[in-house]
Amino acid sequence: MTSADPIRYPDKPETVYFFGTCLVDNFYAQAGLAAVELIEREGVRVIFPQGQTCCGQPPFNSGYRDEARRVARAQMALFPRPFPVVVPSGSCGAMFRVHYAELFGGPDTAVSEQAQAREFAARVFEWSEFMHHVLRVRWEDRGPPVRVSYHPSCHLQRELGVRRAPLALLEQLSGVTLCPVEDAEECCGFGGTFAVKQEPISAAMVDDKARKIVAGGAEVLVACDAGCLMNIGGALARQGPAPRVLPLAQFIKERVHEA
Amino acid sequence: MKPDAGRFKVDAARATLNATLRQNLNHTLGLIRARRDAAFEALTAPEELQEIGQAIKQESLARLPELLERLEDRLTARGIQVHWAETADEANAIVLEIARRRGVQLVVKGKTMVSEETELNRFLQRHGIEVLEADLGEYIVQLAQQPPSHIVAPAIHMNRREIADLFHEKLGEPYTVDIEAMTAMARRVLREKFKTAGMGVTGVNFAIAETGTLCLVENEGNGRMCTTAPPVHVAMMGLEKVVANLSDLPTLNRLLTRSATGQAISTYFNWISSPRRRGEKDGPEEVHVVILDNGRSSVYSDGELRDTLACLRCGACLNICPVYARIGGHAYRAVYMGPIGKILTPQLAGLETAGHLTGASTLCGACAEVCPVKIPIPDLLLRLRQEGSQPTAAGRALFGPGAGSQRKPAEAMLWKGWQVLHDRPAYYRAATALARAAAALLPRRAASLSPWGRRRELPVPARASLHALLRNRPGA
Amino acid sequence: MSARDNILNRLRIGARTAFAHPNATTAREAEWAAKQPPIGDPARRFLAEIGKVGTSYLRVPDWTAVPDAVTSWVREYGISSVMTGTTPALEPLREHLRAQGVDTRILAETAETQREEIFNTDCGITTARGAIADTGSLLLIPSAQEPRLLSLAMPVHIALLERANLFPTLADYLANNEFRNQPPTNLVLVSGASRTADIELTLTVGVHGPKVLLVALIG
Ligand code: SF4
Repeated sequence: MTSADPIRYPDKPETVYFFGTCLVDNFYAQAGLAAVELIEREGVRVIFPQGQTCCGQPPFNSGYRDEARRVARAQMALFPRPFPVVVPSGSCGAMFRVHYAELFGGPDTAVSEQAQAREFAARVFEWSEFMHHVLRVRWEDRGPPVRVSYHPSCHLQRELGVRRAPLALLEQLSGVTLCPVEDAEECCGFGGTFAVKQEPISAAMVDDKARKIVAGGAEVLVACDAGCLMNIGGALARQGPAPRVLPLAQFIKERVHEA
Repeated sequence: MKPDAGRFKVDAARATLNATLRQNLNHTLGLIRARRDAAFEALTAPEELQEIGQAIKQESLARLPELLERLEDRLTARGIQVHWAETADEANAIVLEIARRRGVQLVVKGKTMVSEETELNRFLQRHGIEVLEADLGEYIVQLAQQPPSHIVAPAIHMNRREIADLFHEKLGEPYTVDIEAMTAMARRVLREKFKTAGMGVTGVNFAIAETGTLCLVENEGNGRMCTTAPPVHVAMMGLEKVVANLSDLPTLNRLLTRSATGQAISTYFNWISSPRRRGEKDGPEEVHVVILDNGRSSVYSDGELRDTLACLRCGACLNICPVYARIGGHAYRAVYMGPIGKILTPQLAGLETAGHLTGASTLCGACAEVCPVKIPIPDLLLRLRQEGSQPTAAGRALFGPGAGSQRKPAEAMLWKGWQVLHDRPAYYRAATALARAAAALLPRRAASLSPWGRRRELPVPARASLHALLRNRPGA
Repeated sequence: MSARDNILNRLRIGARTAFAHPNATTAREAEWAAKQPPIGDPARRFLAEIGKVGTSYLRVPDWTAVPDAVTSWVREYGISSVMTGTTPALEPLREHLRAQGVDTRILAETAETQREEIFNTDCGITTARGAIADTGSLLLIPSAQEPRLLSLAMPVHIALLERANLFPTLADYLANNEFRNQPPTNLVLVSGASRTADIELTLTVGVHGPKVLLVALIG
């Protein structure tokens, strides 16, 4: 599952595709917009195909591969040109980059489709990874001093192998002090349908996560996956006074924006 | 003990609310993880070692039938008797037969998960033979009349006060929470048993085909006692425990003990290659090996799921698992719990019985990262979820991935509907707009009625979707 | 058909779907081992490793110094009875201990006939076939002369180890083919006193095996 080979990153492109993900689309649209604008700020054109819906991970993770495959096929068709595909989510990014090959690797998929899935997977990048490794952004922090914790989401760190990039982006912001969180790399308990189907376990996990984040003393919690943020944010809100929770792109946009 | 979807939900929920259990597990799992991490960090290129371990096990699995025959041949040549068992019942019957022939009344046992799998203790006791667990953790859970809650540390769910109560009540010893004193009590009791036991039963960590050698890894000395003091030693092993070469041992053992306890090597690494030879003054007169299938050969026939059989039973995946840490081992109602249990149990017991365990995972991947032989546990969970979503076909095998199904028609319909909405952009946009509007109208308090909202606030839907915000962009 | 044939047949059918793995792990292991921090002087490394798990040792120049070393331990640990095998090389030691008034026993019959004596002796003394430096492990090969229980049943175990028999790693020992050519009934690597961590992960020494392990390094 972990990509064994180190990723070879392309040179800065003129144009990229943006895949917003269904969660960002419906719950964190402003963060999606921020992610797009921060790419454009670097002089890169962003194409957002309006036909996009979801990467297909929910049915795939539930074992319904046929259903996932049909949706996946429709998504791939929307990104035909060889531009990088930027995704503001480690989980959806991993679905594209790691699992499409499995989804289209079986004996019942055409060879041409297998090749298409591989070609597509190879140009998918998670947003923070893309900003750090491909665009190599340099930012100037315009915000007031703030204490921030970063939650490394599971698929981002373990399936995509992206551990440094989000921190590297945050470290560029001079007003930001990073607050470590105990057992930071442990899963928050979201897990898609797991959060609902295994509610007691999921809630026990996220309660612990929320408590450890509060103990870390941050004023803001950022992450690269909307699912985790919904989950952790939801638990923090129940626990009382809590840090603000928002996607990394949106946080950065607020800090580097020229008033 | 049988996995059961309904009971799992109840047991798991109850366990998450058991403050003592959570505290016990937080303490012990935290310690054990730190020890494991330190042991790997002390190495140069630890990941490479994991890759080599993986290669060794895969190579041995690829040659499994040949290696088993060779193992049998070597063991037999030196007087170790080899038995083959297709099922748990067969394995138990073999052990009983040996015990009867030798007139055994008391069996002492080293730690063996295979004997848990066959429920040997219950079986022998039903036939009038006393069985005593000699590993301290196993001894504790046996006294408590519980199954082990962890494959390496059977009593990890109990704290010293609970164990003190148990010893006080069951052994009639003066109450003490002093761990050394409690260990000494167990030593005293078991010592007498070692002297009189007619049979020692143990597991096998590695069986070397090249030389016909059974290797046991342990710290306490109970395994050495069980293989030395009684006149008969019976070693029970899953058929996947065979490895090809003697030269594979250093790597595999390095990985096993570091992953299990953070030790560079266990206190005892015990290699057995024959029964007592002429002139030798101790050691068992008879050594038997029971090679158990119990569904493994069926797992083996699937090129992807076969990776499950590479497992060293180190327990590292349990220790890192966020789900295991919240519910403990008993909630699984399975001999193998935690991440390895979630892939192994449904394959051995069938998906209909145990398929629900594959759902008790966020697919966070922490297990695959620490696994010393790099078993891709999340990928195998996904594969089993897929198998489980298929309708049951006639004529499927008794064991293995094809055994039964956990398909629920309503769920299948739901995913079909999901697909229809998501492969047609217009449907998707209309449906999500509707859902966002509806959610905005919903009173906040209603949220707590949904499973999500019981202990979490619902997320607030975006007023305008990203689709809408970007409608006027190029490529739209 | 027997269970054996059924199982093997199923596996043989299954094995057809196997992918071939090159038998290249041995080379990779050697490569990996070469990357590890150097072991240095095997004796020094060995003593450092056994020290980490609380095993005490004495260094003596040759076999003639062994009796005094053992006697000092007998005093230090309040040992009143010792047991050895029939190893002729240990005769001077036995004589010395007897002369010092230590109850010195020999496991000369069988474990069955001498059971009570074995389980009621304070200290077992054995030689070691060798030791593995990088893990601090004694390499014991019990034999007719030195049965297994001598290193297992008594609360104290004294092992006599010749420095010349130290191997840097387990792989180095296995490479000499001694084991491969003639696997002994039992070989055991011993890396400290018997221990457990089954209660609250708290390390406790002395469960079913010796509570105290002592090593005399000779040469
Ligand atoms: S699956 Fe891997 S980590 Fe888990 S017990 Fe087996 S070898 Fe250890």
